[in-house]
Amino acid sequence: MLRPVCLSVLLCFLLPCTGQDATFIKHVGFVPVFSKEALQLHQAVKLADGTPVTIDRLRFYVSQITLHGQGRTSFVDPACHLIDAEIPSSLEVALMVPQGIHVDSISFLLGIDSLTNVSGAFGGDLDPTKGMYWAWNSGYINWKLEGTCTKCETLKNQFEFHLGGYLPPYFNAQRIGFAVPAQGPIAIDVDVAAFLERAKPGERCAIMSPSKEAVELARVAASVFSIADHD
Amino acid sequence: MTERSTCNVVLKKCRATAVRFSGHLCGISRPSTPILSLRFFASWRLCGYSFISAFQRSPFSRTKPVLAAVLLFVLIAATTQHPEPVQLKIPAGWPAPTYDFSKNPLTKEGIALGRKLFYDPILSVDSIVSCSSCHLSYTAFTHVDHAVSHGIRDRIGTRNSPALMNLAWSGLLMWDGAVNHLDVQALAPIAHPDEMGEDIAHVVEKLRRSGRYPGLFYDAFGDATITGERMLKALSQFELTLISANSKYDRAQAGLETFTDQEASGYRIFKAHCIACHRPPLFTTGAFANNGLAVDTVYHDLGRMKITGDPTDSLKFKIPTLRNVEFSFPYMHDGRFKSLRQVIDHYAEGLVQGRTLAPELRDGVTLSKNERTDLVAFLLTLSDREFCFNPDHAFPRE
Repeated sequence: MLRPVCLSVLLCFLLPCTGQDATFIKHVGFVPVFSKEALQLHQAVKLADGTPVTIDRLRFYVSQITLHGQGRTSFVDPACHLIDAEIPSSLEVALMVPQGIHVDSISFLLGIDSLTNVSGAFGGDLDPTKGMYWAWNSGYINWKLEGTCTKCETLKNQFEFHLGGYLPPYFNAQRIGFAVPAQGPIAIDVDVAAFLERAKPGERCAIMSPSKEAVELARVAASVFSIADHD
Repeated sequence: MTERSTCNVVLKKCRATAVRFSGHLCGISRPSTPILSLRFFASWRLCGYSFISAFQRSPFSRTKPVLAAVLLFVLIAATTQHPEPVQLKIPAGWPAPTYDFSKNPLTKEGIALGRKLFYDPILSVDSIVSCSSCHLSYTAFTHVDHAVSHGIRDRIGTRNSPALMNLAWSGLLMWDGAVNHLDVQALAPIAHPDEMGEDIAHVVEKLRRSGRYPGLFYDAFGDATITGERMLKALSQFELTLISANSKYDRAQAGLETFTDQEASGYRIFKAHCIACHRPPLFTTGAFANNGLAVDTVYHDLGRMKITGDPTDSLKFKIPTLRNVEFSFPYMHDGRFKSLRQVIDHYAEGLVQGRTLAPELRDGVTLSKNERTDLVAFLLTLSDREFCFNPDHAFPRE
């Protein structure tokens, strides 16, 4: 007599669990732009004041991607992603998200957290062969922007902004967050022109180590991320 | 070739195949019991078939028990754990290692790969300089008799190469603590233009193209993929095995040997003046200190401050271990002192007072000439010849 009752009770507990196992892919795309146009590497373009610049490399780390809904954390992606303007497949992150979660905003870290920075060698996007690790002073480079600008009195007019550092007072990674639509992919613009207009190549052409200036520029880099206009 | 030798060749080949398959089934880097799969059975059947063919031509062709024994042997070989886990022996009374072995479990094959990499000049741009060029096993893994080391194309560096030992207990590495983990330490000399002048991505590319390394990575990690992470972790595995804990001091502590009167006197002086920074059993605290050296006039090396940007770190350098100090001359970050006596004379007579001078040295160190001699006698008891001449640490001859 008790057996059917026990089975029903068990099913009541198990059925909701099976429902939660289902996942769907939520795409988060990072779109490098120069003002309103798609970023073209290795091509001369002009800043708003007419300064000619060429962008040769844009790489940055995105980690701890977190989806929020109704004031709560809905999903946390444990992976670190290297976004490289030269590798189209790197520009889109596919998150395996549980079905039915509420999403009204997204946040992520532009860069790599302190714990990862002190935990030795990693593979995948964090492999030191990716060119985003400082050999002389342990730590990841969070944001790497390289190119040329006639205002830079350097070899071949090059500028190199390598932003990183995990130790206080120069902790460099920046938290970024936006409200997003509940459905569909999330596209985030990364405006290199806006960064350079505030970084002012010519006044400074090379940042290569953790410093106060690197932290200031990391804040500038974080400010040039925005939700893309879907029209 | 006789039938028996043919049989041995087949046996060897099949064992290698079976071992590789078991390695493949172990996963990427974590040694575990092999899981039998259809693929494994397919391979095993092929081996078995070769055996049967070979034995059919041999004098033992009708000897079923022998065949069964050989097949059992192959099965045992196939199910042996590969890579083979290695447990590091922690010396009695030592603290727990600071290295997290769960993220890089030691294996026989991983250590062998790391050892090969350590001695291979393929890591440098001109294929002349290897890790061992500046870290010679016979001199406690340092570059003896060089104030500062020379790298590719005879370029001279700026710092004295440290002796390598007991790295499972290390904190920050390098004289200024620039490197925060053993796994990423090798990146610094590989990339330094005066040391190996290479790029880690290019080194990995060279290893991939080499005939030998893909197989060694297969043995160590379960597949032949070569990555920067794996290369660095293999180097760590070898370096972690460099444990020096069998000096006369250690044997005296264990009651197996006795200090001479002079050594015992030196030990008392050591405990009175040196032990605060050179704390046993590692003979270092791993911290950074200004030990009263005048700023060198060539490099103007300010040490730890270069990394932290903090003026209170000015002129602080990593406190080196005193183990095997007999072999690691010349001394200090710039190799300015050629003998232990000169080092002790510095503490007794040459301390430069400064804002960041170690508190233990502010009142100076008073030592008579005899006391200095006794202290040297004690320091020589920290020599570990078994460590320096351990064949497992030396160039891997094949």
